[in-house]
Amino acid sequence: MPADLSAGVRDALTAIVGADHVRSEPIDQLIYSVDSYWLPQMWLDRGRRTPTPGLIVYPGSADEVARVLAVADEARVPVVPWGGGSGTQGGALPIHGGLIVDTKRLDRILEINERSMYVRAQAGINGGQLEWALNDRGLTLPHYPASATCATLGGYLAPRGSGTISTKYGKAEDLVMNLEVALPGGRLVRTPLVPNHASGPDFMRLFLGTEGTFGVITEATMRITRLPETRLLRAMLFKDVATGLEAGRQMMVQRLDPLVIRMYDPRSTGLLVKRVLGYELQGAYMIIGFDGWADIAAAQEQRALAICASLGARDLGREPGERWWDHRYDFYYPPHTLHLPALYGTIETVSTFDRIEEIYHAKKAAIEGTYGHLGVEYIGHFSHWFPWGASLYDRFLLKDAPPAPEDAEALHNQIWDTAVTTSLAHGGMINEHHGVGLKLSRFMRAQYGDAWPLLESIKDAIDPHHIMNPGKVGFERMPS
Amino acid sequence: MSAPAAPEAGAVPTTENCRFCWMCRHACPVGHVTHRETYTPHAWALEIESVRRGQIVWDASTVSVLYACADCGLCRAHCATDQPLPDAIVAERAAITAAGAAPAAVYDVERRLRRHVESGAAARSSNGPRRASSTVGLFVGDISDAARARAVESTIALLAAAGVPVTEVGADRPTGRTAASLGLRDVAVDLARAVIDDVQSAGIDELLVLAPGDRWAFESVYADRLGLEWPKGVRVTDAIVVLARALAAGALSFGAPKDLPPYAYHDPCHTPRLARDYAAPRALAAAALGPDAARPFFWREHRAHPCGAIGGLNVTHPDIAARLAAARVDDARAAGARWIVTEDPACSAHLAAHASGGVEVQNLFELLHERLVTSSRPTSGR
Ligand SMILES: Cc1cc2nc3c(=O)[nH]c(=O)nc-3n(C[C@H](O)[C@H](O)[C@H](O)COP(=O)(O)OP(=O)(O)OC[C@H]3O[C@@H](n4cnc5c(N)ncnc54)[C@H](O)[C@@H]3O)c2cc1C
Ligand code: SF4
Ligand code: SF4
Repeated sequence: MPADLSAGVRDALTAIVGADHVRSEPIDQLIYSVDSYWLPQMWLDRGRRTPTPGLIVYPGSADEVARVLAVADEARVPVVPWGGGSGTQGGALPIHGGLIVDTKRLDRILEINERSMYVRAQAGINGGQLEWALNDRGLTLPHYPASATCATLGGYLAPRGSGTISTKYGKAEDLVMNLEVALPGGRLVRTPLVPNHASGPDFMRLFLGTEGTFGVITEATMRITRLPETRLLRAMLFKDVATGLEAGRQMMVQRLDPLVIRMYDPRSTGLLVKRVLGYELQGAYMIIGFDGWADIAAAQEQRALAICASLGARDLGREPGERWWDHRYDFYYPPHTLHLPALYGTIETVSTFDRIEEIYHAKKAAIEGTYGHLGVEYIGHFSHWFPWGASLYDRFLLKDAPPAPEDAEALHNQIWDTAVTTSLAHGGMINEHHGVGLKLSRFMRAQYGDAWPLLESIKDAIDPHHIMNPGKVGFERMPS
Repeated sequence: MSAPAAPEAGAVPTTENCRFCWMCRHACPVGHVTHRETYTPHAWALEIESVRRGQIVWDASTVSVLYACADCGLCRAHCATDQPLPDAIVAERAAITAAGAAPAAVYDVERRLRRHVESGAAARSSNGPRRASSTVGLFVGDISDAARARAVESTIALLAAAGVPVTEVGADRPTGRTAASLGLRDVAVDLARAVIDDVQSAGIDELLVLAPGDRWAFESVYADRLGLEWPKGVRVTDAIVVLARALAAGALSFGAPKDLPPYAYHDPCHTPRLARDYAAPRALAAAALGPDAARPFFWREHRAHPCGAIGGLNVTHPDIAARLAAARVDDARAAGARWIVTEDPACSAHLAAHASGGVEVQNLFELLHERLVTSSRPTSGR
């Protein structure tokens, strides 16, 4: 056991959660040493080890979480919240050892309120299981990330995730009504359960996007909706990214309220759409979808079709749209998804309509221009749309990564540097929904500029001993 | 536009694919009741791959973890690319078992099943197939288990009432699927061969089974895990489906339910990994217990969690087997049910042993038999 986890700490934790719920077997340490971030996976793939937690703790109630944090605070032990471990940014990695607080025992649905249309649940509930329970009543939580089957409710919120239908229903953070959070000193705070309010600052938002660096979310109330009467999906083919982007922009600024607009660039159309859906197409493949009342959705779709036609799109009809919907998550299952031993990263960004196309071309040029000679490819699709802009879900991919893990890591980080600095230089934000974690921690100062010290001082006030998830989201100070 | 092509075949081993994929964990029953990341599909795959890479070794702790998988098939059933992860886990167990490194309880099972193979062979040579000489067989299985013996008797009576006389096949023979799950490949092969011999010598063209687990053994385990061929021309059918058809055709009827408590129907272990008529057992339960008394389980149909009597968990991880059963009982209670009904005798027996808090367990075949109105006309059932 690492020096910072004395027998006294273990005893204190055991007294809170019970002996069955404190673990430190080598196999557990291995399993909790890797999440969905490429970097630790690559090290393990090559037979090496990554930092492991000293202890894994499984609290069974919010009160137990708070008491665990009090013990850790007293002992100045790092605490890393762990939901499903599906985060792609290394946010749940125990890079400094310490405690992993696995939230999966907090898995109860506390209330489904069909009059006020919300669900109140503990934060460790699995997203897929929560959705099944809602679907059984004809309801849905309209946050459909590809990782819904593996992520937890807390994990949806902590990195401010987005799902497939966020274009209509909003990001996870737009669907949350209130939170209960355990803080480092052992306090539990709860924000008001109201649709919205104007009573001073909305301190709930401090815990959205801070990825466990401010506290552990123990409970959340989420806005739900009825399963729609109809869902209309259709596929279009545009000659290039520019015309597709313009079509999407017009749909959004005309407030046609699409459920989804997803446009694959010509390279992804040729590669991914072909591999997963089996269609051989040239150009930019776009899915558009509308849901809700049948007559309203049909009218919205008609207007969208007129926009697409005016821009010269080929209407591929319903079948390829519906096929995409039915298989939309297949893109993320092995062997379809990007996987080792390749070197890859999802370098997504978000910006306004007047800049997003430029960012796409600039990143493509920067990555292929700088690393093309090594075989690095660039692909992207536009996934989440707003009436003001869109998010570019782009990736780099190198099939034959350098054999030595040190070299692979160095190249990976270099490509990331290029991608992020290009996004920032052209008015993009680091990302739209994957969060920061460990991977992008080093860019936070540059991104926030003069505002960064303000964020640091908020962190100091909430977590004065810096026990919460050190080394993530730009907060580098160690427990002291 | 060209026609959709088949997705590319995965050329890499399953565990390579699964080790860093989290996508089916929502369906995994063991992960669900233990809450431990180490007991989830990706973790078992990562464990196997980490041993291959020399990062850990098979020792008592890591082997115990590998044996915590229930071999329920839910991960594969919910995998978009149909990765046979349970087969990969079981293949690794077979290597561990052959190396003498499995948990002691596994070798106890091996000894017990070996005795079964030998005594079963003696019984068969003296008894042969029993009862009606029909081209429809009923797989009897290991009736040294009293719960199974009762369910078999009830099923034969129900089938007879439905106008489906059956030849009894495979009396006293375990299918070998639990042995296969535990990595006891040799004994599983011997048990399976004995069943296949019985089926071949029975002169049947259809074999009815009591539970999905038996059908899975015959349709998949024998070929995919044991490399054995199922007798050509013998199709395997769930007995419950035959009875439901008879009910629909008016060839079976049950006494009018009176004062029976609300019940939940439990889809037996292995259900999600098979194509299955979910409506058939439900229709029978509704006929016997009243259409309005059904209270659906949350973990049902394609997401049905096992009861715990599966994959040898009872011997390797009785704590997890018990927790799975307790979760089913809690699930029923939360749905407002006071009875759990299910046709698989192993499930009903295991659930009954863990029933609590006012929830009781009934075997569906036995219940149907009890409530059967015997004046039904035979012959029109199929
Ligand atoms: C195949 C795949 C597809 C994905 N698709 C999407 C997608 O479509 N949209 C999307 O937004 N993301 C997606 N992701 C990323 C990831 O799944 C999400 O960020 C997810 O919501 C993380 O949830 P988790 O429970 O697994 O969190 P973890 O990985 O366990 O943790 C993520 C971060 O949140 C913190 N955290 C977790 N729980 C809590 C809590 N209760 N309180 C405080 N902090 C906490 C952790 O410390 C860590 O910093 C995908 C990932 C994969 C592997
Ligand atoms: S079985 Fe499929 S979903 Fe499950 S871990 Fe393997 S690849 Fe992922
Ligand atoms: S077979 Fe069942 S218990 Fe084993 S990994 Fe798959 S879902 Fe989990």
